[in-house]
Amino acid sequence: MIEIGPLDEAVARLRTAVEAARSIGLEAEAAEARQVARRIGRRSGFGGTVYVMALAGGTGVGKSSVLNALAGEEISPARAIRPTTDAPIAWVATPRLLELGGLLEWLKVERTLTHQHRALADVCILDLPDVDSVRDAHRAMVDTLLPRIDAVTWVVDPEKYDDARVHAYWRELAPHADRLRFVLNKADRLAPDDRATVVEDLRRRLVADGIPRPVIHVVSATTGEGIDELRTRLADAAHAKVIVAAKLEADRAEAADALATAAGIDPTDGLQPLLPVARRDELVQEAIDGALALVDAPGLGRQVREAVLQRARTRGGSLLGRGLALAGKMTGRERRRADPGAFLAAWRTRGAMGRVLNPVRAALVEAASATPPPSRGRILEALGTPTAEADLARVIDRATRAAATDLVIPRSLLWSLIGALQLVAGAVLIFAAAWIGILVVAGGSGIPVGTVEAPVLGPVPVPLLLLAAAILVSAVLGWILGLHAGWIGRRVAAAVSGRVVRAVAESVERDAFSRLNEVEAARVAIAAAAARGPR
Amino acid sequence: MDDDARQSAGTPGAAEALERLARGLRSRVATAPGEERRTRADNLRRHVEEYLLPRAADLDAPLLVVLLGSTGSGKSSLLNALVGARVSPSGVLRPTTRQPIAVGHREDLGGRIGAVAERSGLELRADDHARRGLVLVDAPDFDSVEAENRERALGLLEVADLVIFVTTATRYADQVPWEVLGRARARGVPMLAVLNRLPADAVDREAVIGDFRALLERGKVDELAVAGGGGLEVVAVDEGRLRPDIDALDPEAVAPVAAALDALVASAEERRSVARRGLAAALRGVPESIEAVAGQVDEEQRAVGELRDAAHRSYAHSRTALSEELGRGTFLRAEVLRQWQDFIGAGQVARFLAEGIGRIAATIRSLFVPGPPAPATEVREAAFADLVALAIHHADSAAQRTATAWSADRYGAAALAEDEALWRASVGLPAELHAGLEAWAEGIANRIRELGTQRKGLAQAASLGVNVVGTSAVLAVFVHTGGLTGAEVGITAATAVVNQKLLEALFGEANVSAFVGRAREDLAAILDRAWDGERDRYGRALGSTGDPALARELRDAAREAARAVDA
Repeated sequence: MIEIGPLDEAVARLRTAVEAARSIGLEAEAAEARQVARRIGRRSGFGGTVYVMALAGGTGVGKSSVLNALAGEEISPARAIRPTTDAPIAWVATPRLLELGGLLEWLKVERTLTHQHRALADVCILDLPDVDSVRDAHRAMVDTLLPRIDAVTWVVDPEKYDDARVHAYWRELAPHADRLRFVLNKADRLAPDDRATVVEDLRRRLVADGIPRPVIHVVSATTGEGIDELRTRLADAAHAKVIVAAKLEADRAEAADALATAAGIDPTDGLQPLLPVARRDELVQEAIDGALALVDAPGLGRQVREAVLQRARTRGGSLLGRGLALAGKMTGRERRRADPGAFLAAWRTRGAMGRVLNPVRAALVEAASATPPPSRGRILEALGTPTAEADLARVIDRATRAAATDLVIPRSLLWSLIGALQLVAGAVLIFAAAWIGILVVAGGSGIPVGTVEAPVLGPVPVPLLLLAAAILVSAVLGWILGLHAGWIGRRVAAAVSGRVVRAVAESVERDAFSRLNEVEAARVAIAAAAARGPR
Repeated sequence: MDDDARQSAGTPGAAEALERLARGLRSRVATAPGEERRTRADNLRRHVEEYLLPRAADLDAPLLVVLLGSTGSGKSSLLNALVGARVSPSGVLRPTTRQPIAVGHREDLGGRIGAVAERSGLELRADDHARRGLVLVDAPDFDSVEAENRERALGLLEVADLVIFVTTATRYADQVPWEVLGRARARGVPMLAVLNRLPADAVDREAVIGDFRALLERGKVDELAVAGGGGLEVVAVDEGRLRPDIDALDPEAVAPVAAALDALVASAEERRSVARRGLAAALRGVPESIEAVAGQVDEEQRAVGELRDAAHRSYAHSRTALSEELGRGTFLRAEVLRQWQDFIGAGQVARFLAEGIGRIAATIRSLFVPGPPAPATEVREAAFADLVALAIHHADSAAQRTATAWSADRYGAAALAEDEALWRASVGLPAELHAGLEAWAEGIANRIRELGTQRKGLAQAASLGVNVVGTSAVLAVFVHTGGLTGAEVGITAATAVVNQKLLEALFGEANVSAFVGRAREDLAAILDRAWDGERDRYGRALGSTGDPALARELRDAAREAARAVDA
């Protein structure tokens, strides 16, 4: 096994990023990255004592001839008619054959030839079919093989070094530039003066394709020129383990970068939230304001105050007040004006969801527009849910219902005391009224009742005084009750409104923007996989 | 050769059909979605405009001979050999021919050749010793890394009268040249092949030539022989047979090519015959080539039709949902309604509404408690803001539903990528709706003023102000008692009741519903207009992609052009 501790961790991060990418709708990109992660696992399982190097190129440039020249014998048939090589051929050192069995099987290489060159023991050379002939199957074979190969030597000739198709491959291989070599074959066809010119032109084009310091060998398989040097350079190449580990790390980084790019993260620049924090806060506030307008805290306060007053009246009201309260209950007036619980539950009748949903939607669209166009639609789909309106309604329902359950209309001993005093005052009032009534009836009829004589306190008759006192006391008690109940009501209303406002605001902030939060969390995971760690 | 005279005067039946075809292709080039489709149409357009039309008009015009081949195959060396001078730079650097060159006699370089040269960026080289009646063109590499070179080379293939196809022992089985040969076969251009850089080994040499011939046969390219029948001539040139002083292939090695060209120079009959055969084959090939374009148009039409339907469905659905929610009247914020209710329940409005003794009481009360000032403008604006929020919500939903459906489709996704605003209601919609609603309120106010001159009750309303009555009418459109049961009676219904009372007092019971009904219709018209505008964004985003008339016209014209050959 290769020691790839840091790589293991990095691959684990890539796997996490794959799941994160899937959760935000980047299915295709995730599938690709997962395949890379799996490939890295497979390749590192085969060990790294030998690295696989492929000879690739267009038809007729002499891939097989170069291999034959390296070997000093005919390994791969090189012929004049095109294309020649139909399937990859592996050329390996005899002692390594056994340990390479699994790897070659994974590469689907069926033909294997062995050699005794000790210097080339650590490299397994593959002769690949062409990438540009009329046989599409050849190209398909190369396309599936190339990603599994540790290093590539690309063979060109003076005639065929600038085809569009070859450049497309080079651009794709650019992340693996460190493990790329170029062989300019058929150098014998070039006049000595022209060689430097062609190599310089080739180098310029490779740099343009993203390969900053290309290694170019000038050889001729026919004359054998440059072959020995190529063989030495291949043998002297870095340690196989280093090559394999570097290749896998490059694969991993490329896959992580692709995920990051799709998620709208610039891997070199680090993670920026899709929606700038200030803008997000603004939209959250808008949504909260919209939800609060629906809940209608001032209206709720009125209802609470009314309910407190109502309860105070039923306990401490005068006889008349109690009668009115009873009437209110029976006519349903109380339910309309003094039932905070029902008022809260009916929030839906107090405005449209648009005020809450529009800012949420704006946040999602603005967030998605910070991602590249190919991902935009899918991320937006992941952001929004078709049931957004119903979900949000449930969120507000839950918050209001919780507040309604906590809602307790308080009682006060004072009210009962006032109620008792009101009863006394009422009794006095009735007594005084009855007394006066009797006096009036007796006096009016002109019959002298004898002992029925009204006591007088100063100039005022006592019954009248009692009546006035009862009315005054009842009024004062009523006023005190109202004052107290109003004070309590305002306090309770403020507390209840405050609670509802907080609950709704919290729920909206948490739940209405939950998908955006999840997407941002997924992007954090992806950014972690793509982060340029300290090397 | 009896019909030569007629033929050389042109094929008039074809000319009209070709003109139509060119028009159709021009409009296709302007509207095709994507680079590949545009290029395909543009190459065909060149074929029609720069080859078929001029050739059909004049069979005796000079022949355009195009040297076509891969990068590094030796086209320029061949041209130099054929001309006998260093006219085109050949060299070790690829791609060599950046500015394609046309060589011909001074008098042969005008007319069609001049037009082609301008379009393809050809550099014209007059050569007094050139073969008369022929213009040789050294085309850029069709497999070059330079996209412009590729495009120019494929364009030249479309306008050629004769193609000299140059390849090498290394290249002859490359895929890109065979794609080019496939197109050459489809348009039936007469052809010669040069197989360059053959290996010295005699066995290898014969094997390569044999393999190349077999490929030509399999690809049915050998039917393009200049002589007509008898197989395509393959001129074999060995590696290293060069004449370095003029950067040319050895003239002896390419003598068969020169001989074929000289035969054409010697006989006008021969030239005309080649031209006629090329033209006839090209005309016959037109329906098949056009079918490739028309088929794409068909496919676009189907896809685009589905996209349009999706947009229509989404917007119709959301418009209905908006109407329903408007009908329920619960979209207004409670604060707004409460403000209005408080206003109507107090002050001069209450006085206005009360009757008999109550009126006196209200008058006295209003002396002490003046009542709140009329919040007519605030309430109306708040109601409009609520309505706009509601409309945006539904317009956003429709946009989202449309865009989601579109993103699953190729053209839909392309349109969305071009204009991300399609994911939501247009930015200008709130402003547009506000303006529309203001105008609507203004219309209501005007009608109240009109009625005021006719009805006494409304004259009284003058004391309340048109603004207050107008707001009342606006609210009456939104909130009404219908459909609300006792249990649900809330602020909405309560406001509706007092509001209704006020309006009935002003207009008379019978007139209120007519007045409000008309206002409601006007509002629906405003929303309909806004919705049409929103939906039309999607139609515009698709442009004229997939025009069914275009596909029909292209096919008709192509069939007619092909029929003209047989006639």
